[in-house]
Amino acid sequence: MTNSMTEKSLPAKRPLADWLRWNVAKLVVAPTFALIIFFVYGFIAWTGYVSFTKSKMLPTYSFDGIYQYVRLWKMSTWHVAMENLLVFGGLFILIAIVLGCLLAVALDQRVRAEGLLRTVYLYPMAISFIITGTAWKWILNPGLGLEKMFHSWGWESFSFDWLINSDMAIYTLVIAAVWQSSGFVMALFLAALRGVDSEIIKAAYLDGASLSRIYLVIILPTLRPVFLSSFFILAHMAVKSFDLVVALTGGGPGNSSIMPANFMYEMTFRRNQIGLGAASAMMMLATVMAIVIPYLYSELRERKHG
Amino acid sequence: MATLTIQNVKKSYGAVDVLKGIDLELENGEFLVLLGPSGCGKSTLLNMIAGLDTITDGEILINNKVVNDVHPKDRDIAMVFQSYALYPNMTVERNIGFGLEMRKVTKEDRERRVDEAARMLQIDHLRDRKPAQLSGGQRQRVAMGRALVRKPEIFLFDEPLSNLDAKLRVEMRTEIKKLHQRLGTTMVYVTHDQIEAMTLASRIAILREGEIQQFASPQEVYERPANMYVAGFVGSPAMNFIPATVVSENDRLGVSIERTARGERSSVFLALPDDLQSIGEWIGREVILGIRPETLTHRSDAEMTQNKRLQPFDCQVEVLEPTGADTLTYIELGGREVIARVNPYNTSNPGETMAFMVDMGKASLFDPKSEMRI
Repeated sequence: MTNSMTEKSLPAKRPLADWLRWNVAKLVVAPTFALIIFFVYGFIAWTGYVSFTKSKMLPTYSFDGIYQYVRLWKMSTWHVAMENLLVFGGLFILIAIVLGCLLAVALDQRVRAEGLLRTVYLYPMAISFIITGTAWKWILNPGLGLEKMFHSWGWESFSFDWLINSDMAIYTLVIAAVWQSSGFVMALFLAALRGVDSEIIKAAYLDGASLSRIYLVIILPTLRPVFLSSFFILAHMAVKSFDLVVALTGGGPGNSSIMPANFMYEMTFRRNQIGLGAASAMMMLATVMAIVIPYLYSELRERKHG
Repeated sequence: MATLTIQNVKKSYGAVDVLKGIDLELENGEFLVLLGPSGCGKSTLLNMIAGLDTITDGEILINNKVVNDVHPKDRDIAMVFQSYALYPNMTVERNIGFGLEMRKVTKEDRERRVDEAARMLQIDHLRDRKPAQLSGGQRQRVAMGRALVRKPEIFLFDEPLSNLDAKLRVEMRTEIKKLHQRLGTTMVYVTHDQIEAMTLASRIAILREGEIQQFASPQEVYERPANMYVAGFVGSPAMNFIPATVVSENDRLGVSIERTARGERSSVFLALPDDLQSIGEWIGREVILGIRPETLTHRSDAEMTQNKRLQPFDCQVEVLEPTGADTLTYIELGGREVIARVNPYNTSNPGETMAFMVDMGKASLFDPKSEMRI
């Protein structure tokens, strides 16, 4: 009796154990997958819908077409924010990549204390943008930082008032963001430089190329993927930048250094214009997509070819 | 074309001596192979000749001019690397012409020379490809083209064939040999493969732990190895080392070796050839007899009457390994496993006793303590 029971129960048990073994990976991923679907993509969809309504303080759900988008693009503040994004993003990405690349090449010359220098350059990345913004606000504050220091040293005519100059405030954001991110770009480039076959460099030496030639003509072109990834990482950081602006300039003087994310926050949570805020958020999403989709496309296409 | 002289060259990294005083002299158009296991310093020596590594002590001369402090690009040498070291972002054509471009050769002249080199190596149809689109053998050819196009005084090769598969390696080996015969340029070639060394070299330098063991022609290295290390490194299957005692019988010096024949243990006397009759001081002492497998084979009475240096003995067969052309026959002599190369139609079965003869004229004797040739 007992014998026949165990014989029967064994084959009944196996399929469940087997099923578990095959599906354990899916089971582990399922909760996070569900959460991401709901909280990321679900709310993107919700924001997208709200941007087509006349929501003010509370969301309403009656469809009103592109009313909010028309309104948005008629606002001069939004134009300022988008121009600022263009200036800030362009300069920030360009300077951070050039500086990071130069630092990496300099460190690649097997300098002494390389480990220490690498850490020194990389550390700003560990600080949040809020801290970076606050620190640079003190440094750039004419009554407190650099200008005060030079004045007290006797250089009375020294003037550095970008922080309170509405034409220049956007560049202080560039300074702080570059300071924070160029070390990270350097680390990316340094890793890639170390991956270059040393025999290629030797061969170029024998071919009679100078050191600068070797870097410009042979090594840097092989680092194209690193240039691309740095560009995309920095670009999405630029589009999303919010905290740095809040801490460093507060979007001022006036609205002169406002960025799209700050605009969105201002409209949605301070001025009870949820519909308008949602529309600006969707414009930011479109900007990120415009950068990311070509990147993904080229990556996937390359993999298919490779 | 150039002469290359290396005088007492040393290299140390801190307290570690990688090269301990290397002396080499190469004539115009010679093909030197630096042969040795990994870590023997052969690649370091090559890099020093190229100028990619500094010299701790000693001098390197090209055409009797000291080049210790001459920049690599001014030494008029070209090098082919193990990983090919092609510039990944340049086409084959630009890869080959890059050295000329850096030397400010005019465009027409450059194109003509690239064309010539590409045609010589049969890669002219690949000119517009990038290195990633080439096979291993094609990359190897491009790397050689890059060296070739500059018409250097000396070619350096750093294990150029070790990344290729076996068949391609043999093909490219012949290709390099042809190239050397056509150009007549002095070449230095680093490898750990003794067959490459034997087939390519006009002279081989065998290195071990930063010291030259022997510097001689391939035939000399093969037939008269300077010590047991060289004897064991060159040749496949490796030379047999048999412990033996020097004895005198009927006024002739010979060696006495223990063996098993017809189920009994006994010793056999093998007379030494005339040029080894002068080692009287070794009588009664132990030596190592070095015998190449192909000089040890089945007995043929006709050959024995012709060649007095052939010595007969019987021995029990242990294992047979057919290779097609020959059957490797394992026997036991002096307590060591010994390989004989036997014609497949003359083998005996394992366990049976077989009649062998050995060419003592091609045997080597070594001092068991110093491992040097006697």
